[in-house]
Amino acid sequence: MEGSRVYRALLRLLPQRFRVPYAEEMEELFLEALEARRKGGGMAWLGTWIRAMADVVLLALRLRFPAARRRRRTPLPGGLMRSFLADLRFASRTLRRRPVFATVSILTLALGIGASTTMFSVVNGVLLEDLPFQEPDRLVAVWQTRPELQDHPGDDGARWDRYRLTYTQYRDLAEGSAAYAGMAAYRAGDPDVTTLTGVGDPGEMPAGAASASLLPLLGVRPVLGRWFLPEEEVRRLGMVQRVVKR
Amino acid sequence: VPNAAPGRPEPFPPLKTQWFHILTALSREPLHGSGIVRDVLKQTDERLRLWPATLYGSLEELASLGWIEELTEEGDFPEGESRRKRIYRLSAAGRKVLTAEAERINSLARTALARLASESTP
Repeated sequence: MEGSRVYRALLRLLPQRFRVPYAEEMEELFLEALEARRKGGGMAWLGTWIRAMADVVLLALRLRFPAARRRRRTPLPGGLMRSFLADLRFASRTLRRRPVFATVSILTLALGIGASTTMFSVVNGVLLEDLPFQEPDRLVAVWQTRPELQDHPGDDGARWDRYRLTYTQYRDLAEGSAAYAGMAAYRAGDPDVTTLTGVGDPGEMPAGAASASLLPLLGVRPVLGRWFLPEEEVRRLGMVQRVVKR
Repeated sequence: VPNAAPGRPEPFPPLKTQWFHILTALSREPLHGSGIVRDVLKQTDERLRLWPATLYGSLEELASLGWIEELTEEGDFPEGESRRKRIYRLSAAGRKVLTAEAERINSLARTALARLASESTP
């Protein structure tokens, strides 16, 4: 099992006199904890790993440098910079004497930093960053509610409280409402792909249907050619995914 | 560190949390590592999980203080437990330390509760 191999490698941080008698039982305990958290689903396993790493690293530090906390009550003469350099020299000497410990510590740090960076880019993309459109804070999505469908869910998984508008409903709303600066309709996946020819090699493109007002409303310009005009709004396909792609 | 004094005549400062829970877990019967983890989870309503390094680090310290002992005699092992795992039991000294700590907590709690009750009006 992959997890126990990684954990065994982590245990190499501990001094041998401690690792030899306890490693096997520690690994078993860790697997039990991992199993218990796995039932929680989601990202629970990541938390378990981070806790387990911190747990082992802290004990390793305590066992390997028992005097570290008590050492050097009195500062070295020569101020902060010199004592900092002395610390650096001490650290690099210690690490060189213990290459396995150094490697595993560096790997642990690298894994930790990697995991946090990944988490941040996900959180940043999904939660923090604005949509790549003009004035994204003024964009809203409009749905209709159909309480009569509450007990009869459709085959396509459409929710009664988030039900699509029909094209006619959209026209009525767009013409009759003064509450919005503009309004546009789109429907993804209708058809879901189309073939683009005439620009280099032919290729398949994700496609969808949209009203003429969509791109001007989002403040997006087509990458190729031109967008269509309101009077051409009959049933044109394509373009949306292609032009929005950054 | 008074915490580490084998006799621990003065129950101050308080025992480390994980030490207290481990000693409590062993106060009823000898247990192996994962038995202790499960018992501590039960004691604390699932709030405190002892992670492996914390657990075995503490067990080693508690054993070196003489507050717990590892079972070594064949006859000591509970029915059905394999000898593969280490099993620990509370020593007489450990029992004394745990009793003193429990009484300390109890008397602090009694004092606090009594004052809260007598000054219940804001």
